[in-house]
Amino acid sequence: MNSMVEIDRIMKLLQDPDTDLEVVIRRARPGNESPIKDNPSESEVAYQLKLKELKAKERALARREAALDARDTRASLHVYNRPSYERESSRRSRSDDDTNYHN
Amino acid sequence: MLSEAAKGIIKTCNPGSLTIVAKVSKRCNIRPACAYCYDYDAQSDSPQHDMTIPTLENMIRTSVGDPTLHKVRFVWHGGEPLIVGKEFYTRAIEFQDKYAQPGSIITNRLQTNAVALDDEWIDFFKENNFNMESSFDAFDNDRTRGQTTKVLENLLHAKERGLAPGNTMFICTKQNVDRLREAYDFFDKIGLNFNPSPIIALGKACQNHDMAITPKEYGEALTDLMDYYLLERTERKIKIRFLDAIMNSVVTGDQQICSHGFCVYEFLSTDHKGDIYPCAKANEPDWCFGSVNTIGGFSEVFQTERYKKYAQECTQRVEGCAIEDNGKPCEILQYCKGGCASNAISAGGYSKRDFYCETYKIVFNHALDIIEKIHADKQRVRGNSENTAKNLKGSECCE
Repeated sequence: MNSMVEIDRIMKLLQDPDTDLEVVIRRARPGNESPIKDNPSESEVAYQLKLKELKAKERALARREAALDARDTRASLHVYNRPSYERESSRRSRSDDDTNYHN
Repeated sequence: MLSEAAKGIIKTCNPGSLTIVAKVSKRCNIRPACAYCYDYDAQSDSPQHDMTIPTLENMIRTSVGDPTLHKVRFVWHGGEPLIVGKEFYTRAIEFQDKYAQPGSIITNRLQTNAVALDDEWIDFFKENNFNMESSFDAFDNDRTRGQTTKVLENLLHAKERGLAPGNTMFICTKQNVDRLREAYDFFDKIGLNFNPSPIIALGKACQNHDMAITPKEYGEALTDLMDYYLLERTERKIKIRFLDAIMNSVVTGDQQICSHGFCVYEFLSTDHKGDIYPCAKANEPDWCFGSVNTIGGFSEVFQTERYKKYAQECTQRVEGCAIEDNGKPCEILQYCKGGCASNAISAGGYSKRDFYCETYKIVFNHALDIIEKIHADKQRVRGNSENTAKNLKGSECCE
């Protein structure tokens, strides 16, 4: 199991004093008073920049967590990877499962 | 011509990856006790309702062997997917190896009720990198599904052996929807991720009307759970996929669940006969796109007139969601992406609004409320710090 569940990463990101959430909120709720409301194109650019910044921070946190997890689980990984998975033709890996099917 | 609101949502072709929800059998080993099976068919409990090996091979050949697909995700589903036996999945792995293209990625996930989950299955899943998901209704399980002790033992044993379910579904009904905090505590105590999903008003559930919940009830229960999970808990050992996806979507704009990701061109389902449908929850004959036993590759499906009609109706749904009944733009569409096609069927057709539209509005707005609260708290702390700094500076001057 991950040493930190993903939502902790998101919450940590939100609570980080350096993470500016203003543009994200105003994007979602344009009715709020906002200096960027008057210029939608500026708002869009600001949002995209903010989004990029948020995603970069989220990815950095995820990488840090993954590095910690890898260190913790390296010993057990070989159990799951029998030689046939290493064949060049295709990959089958539990960690590659990004299936987002919601039952 | 797509509207601005729909432009960022609609897909018009397959992106090279496909999820196939493979319903390998109509049989299930918790019938007839299970109170809400959406796939219930009293006539289907015989092996002739299992997928045959030739159909299995065709399903895999036409997907992983399709040169336009570089990533294929299999979600093994049913009925109960363990009921077809280990030999079936051994052959599935053989076929995946046989037809895989160089560099392609194949993933396997299986949704089981865990009744038959023994050491041999656990070994098989670990050896073959299968992800496992399950269903268990915690304190309500005796009433809704049965075999409670056995299933719980099997899930905990699997967890001990390093195969914890990535997700354990908890079905919300009228009788338990106001007890989601209790459900969280239950799953937290045993260390299994859980996901509260609403009862689907199909199959056996139609015989138990007293279990039905409204979108509003479901939404309000989820917001209470959000407060508990996100604000009141200082430490989280387990995750709630749906709520995580909601928060992730609001913060980063990324979609993590199919029901909020415009699934057209990326998801298909096959039944035990090999017939192809939009989703595991939607297999009306009018929306059958062909059979794995007759197509050359899955990408052919997207070229059929029936699939194009399906895509068009889903696009209409998104366009229809852009403007609310009060004439104002929907602020939630950017997150829900027009919702789930199968849920729209419950509301009257793929072009109709997702039955749970109201739930999404409640939940996404609550997520935004939480973010606004965090933002306001941070502003307050910053303001206090600045005032303190000013006061300190002022007092230094006086000295």
